[in-house]
Amino acid sequence: MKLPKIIVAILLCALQVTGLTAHADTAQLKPFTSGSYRQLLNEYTDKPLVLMIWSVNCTSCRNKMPIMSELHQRMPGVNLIMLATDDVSASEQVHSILTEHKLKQTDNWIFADANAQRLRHEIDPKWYGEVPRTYFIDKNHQRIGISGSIPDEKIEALIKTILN
Amino acid sequence: MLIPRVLLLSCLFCLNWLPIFTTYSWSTEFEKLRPEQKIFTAAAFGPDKKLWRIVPSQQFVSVDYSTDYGKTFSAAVRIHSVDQSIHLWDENPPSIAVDRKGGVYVLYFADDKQSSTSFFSYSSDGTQFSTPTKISSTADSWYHYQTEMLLDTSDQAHFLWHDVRDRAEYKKLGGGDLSLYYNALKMNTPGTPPEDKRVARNTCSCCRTAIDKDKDGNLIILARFVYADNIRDHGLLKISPDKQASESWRVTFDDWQIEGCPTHGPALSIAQDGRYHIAWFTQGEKRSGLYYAFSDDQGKHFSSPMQIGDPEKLPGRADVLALNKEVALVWKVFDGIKTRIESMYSMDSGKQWSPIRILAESGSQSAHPALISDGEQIYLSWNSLDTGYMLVPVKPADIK
Repeated sequence: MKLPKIIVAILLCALQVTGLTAHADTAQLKPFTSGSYRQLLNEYTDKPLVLMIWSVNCTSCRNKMPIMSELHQRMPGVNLIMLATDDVSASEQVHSILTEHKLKQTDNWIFADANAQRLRHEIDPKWYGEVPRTYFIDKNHQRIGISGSIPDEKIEALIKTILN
Repeated sequence: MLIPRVLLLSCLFCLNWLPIFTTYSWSTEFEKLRPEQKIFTAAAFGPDKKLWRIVPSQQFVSVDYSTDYGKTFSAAVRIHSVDQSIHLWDENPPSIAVDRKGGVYVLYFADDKQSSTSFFSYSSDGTQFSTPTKISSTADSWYHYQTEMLLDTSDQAHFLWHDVRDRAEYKKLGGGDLSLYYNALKMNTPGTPPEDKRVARNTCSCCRTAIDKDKDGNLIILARFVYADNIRDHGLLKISPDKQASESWRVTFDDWQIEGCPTHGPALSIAQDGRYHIAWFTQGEKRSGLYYAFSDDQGKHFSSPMQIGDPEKLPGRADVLALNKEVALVWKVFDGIKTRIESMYSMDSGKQWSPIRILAESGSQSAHPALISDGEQIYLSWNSLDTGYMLVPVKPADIK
């Protein structure tokens, strides 16, 4: 039976969303809309994760990408989610920055709701939108949120904390 | 195999259509999700109290006017006949100003060789606009943005913007700071425009600046600077009528240490009596939230910071405007569903304030609030997708 391409795509995506397949090798960028944060937590039920929120114009964010990439490779079990707060017109820039920093294979998202304020509020009602904003979330989904650049060794220590 | 369309559609719906883009060409699909540019209006009163407004669309900007305080507007006049990719955002809004003879000055941002390049256009009467020109002399090679435009009493238009052209200088630093560049234009003045010049260094790259003119014809600029140890507090600087920029001096001491982007610029208004009124946001060691203060000695000293709004509601994006002894403050709050614009009003130059009042609300995407005046009253000029453009008087009816 030959399934139409669109159905194959839907099924593949469905599997991907429910976390049943590994992420594909190609760089992917998912639109982060209302409900996406909840969806992320569901996808990573009982798993620790690091959510780094960044923006293309944020030099400090980009400066932290090498260490995030290194830790992602060196510490298996770290589920790293990169979320860009730029609007979707910056998708190509976001894509190329992630690729440049070898962050193609992380779980990558971009804000895709005109009401960015609502997206920020769903993630954290106490977050004003400053970036980088990094959340270290343990398997019970207790989290620590930190604004601004974090020293490399502190990032590693915080990741170890959520892995234990 | 034939799958009924309704099943296909419900499949798509169940998946919230979200992951489809990861498989298909996201650049085309994302294009449809580009933020609506139309909410980023800007408005200013002319000398005849006509309200002029910039009306952006995705491909061009237009200008219209209202003679009944925003109830109805004229047919819109398109600025430029060639389509552009208009690129505004809440911290990068367009500007409009009207001179003493009714000339209309427009500044907006569109993607060109660089993203969100600043364009300027002028019309002597609002019926026909000049071909837009780029403000920065290096607009084609260096990214620049968050340009502020201010018209002075001699009808000279001043421009101040964030420019990354000195990037090499900043590489050794933590990053996240850049230079402010400045230029000024006078319409109908023959000769080549002056070269743009750097007026400040180490400005926070993501926060828009605030600009006003003082009693003596100086331009006063309030900006978030990056001080030692990545402290991101605010400083003032002065550009004299002969275009000489002073060194900047620090005026807020909250000690917000962050190597990152607050994306939250300050507000400034200088009253006719010379008092400086400022509003700013911080998450500093010493204080956190939204604040207001005033200065009677050209910004050398300021009053004790007064906290604005209920900290639980995350107040932000303040604007301040003084009209003689009356001062208005507006800011934005969000409760997860509704965005509201709250306000306070002072009749005595900022010493005492009215209780907080809600001026407008929206359940959709909205611009930052702005204050404008026709010389008699102060108005909130605000736009959101679900309410459309609003002009709301800020002064409470019962204030004395």
